Amino acid sequence: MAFAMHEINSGLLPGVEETAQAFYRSESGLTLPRYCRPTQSAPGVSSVLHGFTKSLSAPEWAQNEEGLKQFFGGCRQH
Amino acid sequence: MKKDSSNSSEVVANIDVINRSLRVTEVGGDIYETAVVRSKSEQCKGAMLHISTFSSSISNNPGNGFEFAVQAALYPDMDHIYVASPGNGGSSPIRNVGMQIKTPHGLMDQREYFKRTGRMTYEDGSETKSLPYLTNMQEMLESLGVEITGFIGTDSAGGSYATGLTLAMPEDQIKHAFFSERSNFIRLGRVGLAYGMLVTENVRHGNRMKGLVVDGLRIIDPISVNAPRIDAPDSANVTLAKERIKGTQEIQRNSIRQQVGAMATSLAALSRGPEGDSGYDNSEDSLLADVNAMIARHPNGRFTFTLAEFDPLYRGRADELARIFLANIDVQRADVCAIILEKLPHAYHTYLPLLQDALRRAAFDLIA
Repeated sequence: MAFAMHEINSGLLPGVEETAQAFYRSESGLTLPRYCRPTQSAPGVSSVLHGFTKSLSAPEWAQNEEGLKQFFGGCRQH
Repeated sequence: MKKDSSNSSEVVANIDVINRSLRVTEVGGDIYETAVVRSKSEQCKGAMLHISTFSSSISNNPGNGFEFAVQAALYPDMDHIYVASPGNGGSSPIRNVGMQIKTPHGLMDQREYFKRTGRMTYEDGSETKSLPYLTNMQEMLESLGVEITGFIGTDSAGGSYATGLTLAMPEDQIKHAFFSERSNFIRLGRVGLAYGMLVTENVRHGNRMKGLVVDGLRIIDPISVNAPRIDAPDSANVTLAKERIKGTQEIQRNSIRQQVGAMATSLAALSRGPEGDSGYDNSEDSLLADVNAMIARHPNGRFTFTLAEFDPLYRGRADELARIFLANIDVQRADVCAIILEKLPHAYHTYLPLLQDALRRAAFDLIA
């Protein structure tokens, strides 16, 4: 789908629109880095495990104007 | 989340509830501005607490009420309670109450202690306790009939207050807590924190985020939707409370002065943190001290922290700070994790509330 971006200073927050796009529009969704400490693990860098969140997507109702209007009570057209 | 097409708008309905429920409650000389949205379900799954950031309240910033209405609408089967942070709106500031806390720098009363250490908990012999302001807040919650059974929904500085509050709760009560963009991961200094939040975040990042549009709709700027406004600032109860705070505290002669004073205290406290550039120094780590105390109090909890890549609070080091923090906490039986929000700013939750909701549901294994 087309993704329009306006009124921005492209030097700020580079990549933020891709993140929004991935969450709102991408079929594969948004996946983010995740670190955790297993239960009862000893302190130390070696105990910190690296992984990723499950795929995060906007709910189906939020993918169209009507759904957003219904939830938020309004929706401003750009 | 499945939507009920018979409802015109859950958010609008909640705004009405917030307008009617906004009030202040006094406990032990401290005053708290609150709003409550009760569960729509007969089988309530618990209560979610929302504590505002260091400079916000519903009565002074209706956008806070809108965000609260959105979060309550996303979890209609839970009770939700909003508390304005110290010194904001109808909430009184943290003040000295005549107690003495022993520190390496000498004895301090709670306001001075908070300002100098950034901590919301303190050691009383072998026991770690909440500051009296938070002990009174817990009593206030109980007086409203709200029991925070499993969730804490807090953003930014609200996470610091919420961490301390858990020490005033019954042991093992907290099962899930979500801390979004919490303070105190790194020492910023007052000027660094003020500039980062007021200029970089509120102005520059704010303007950038307001310009984001997907498919011709400004859907990621819910604050700008044409929803009914929060009327609650006119609440006589809250107005009276503000007048009362003015009248009963000699040092704060007007609300502006009170807010400036509270903000200065919060800025000093929330800018504290370990030095990050020269290894890890635990000597001034309010985050580690308070989180360890929280975990010890709620050892079976599930605690999730998010750190946004472009949050001025982390100075471009979110990933590194998250790993250092996790490496140093005393995890015990708890489940503690940190999620790095790539490419996002501090206030992502304001512009992308549904993303924060997805993160929270993933963290807590809730089904959307």
